[in-house]
Amino acid sequence: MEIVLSIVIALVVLAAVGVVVQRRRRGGGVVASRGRRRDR
Amino acid sequence: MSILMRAREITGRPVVTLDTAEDVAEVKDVVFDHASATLVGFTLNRRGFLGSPMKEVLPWSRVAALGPDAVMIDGAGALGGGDGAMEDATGSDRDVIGAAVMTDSGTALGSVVDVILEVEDGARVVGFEVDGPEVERDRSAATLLIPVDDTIAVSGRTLMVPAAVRDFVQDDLAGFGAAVDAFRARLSEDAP
Repeated sequence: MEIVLSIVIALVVLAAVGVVVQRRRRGGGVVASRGRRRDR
Repeated sequence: MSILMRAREITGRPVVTLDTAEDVAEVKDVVFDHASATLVGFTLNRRGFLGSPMKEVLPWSRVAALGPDAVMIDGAGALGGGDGAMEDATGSDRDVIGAAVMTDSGTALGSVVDVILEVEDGARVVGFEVDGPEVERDRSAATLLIPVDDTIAVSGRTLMVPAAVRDFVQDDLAGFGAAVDAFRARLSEDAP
């Protein structure tokens, strides 16, 4: 039972780290804008 | 004096205020207007390992200085809403990294690994760093720099460049500024 719980906790922690890393990696793009501007 | 730099070197740089010397954000995306090939600003992440994307953006007009280690702004008030061009870029994903570069004569030159900026009073896109099977095989460089005109045609995941660009390809940033000038001079000579 304890082993199963440990594995589940480890998986949850790994998933959380994965989400954070993915979010960090998303940064770093070079984005082309169509240049549409609002009248000011 | 103008400086050439790779756009991806700017991403992740801290945004530091001149009035309080505080790093208030870090650069997430570099945003350029493809119709004029000019840099329009940056989208931002919060600082720190868990830094999440910020709603505020940093238009280029509010940048006090772009240094090798940080982007300087007058104060935290410089962050905020952008103009239409910034909102358009943040509203949808049009990252050109990985996009295919194609000449107008139908030759694929490879895929974009970086964008070359010329920074002076303003900042403009002057070239792409390209990798791929069409990188000429007799060159020792792993990637090639190709100059672009002052308008960049973007269609989906493809960037279109004039076929004449092949005569002005460079291996590194040294001499690339001259290649850009020569390329643009050739285009204006060829223009009707």
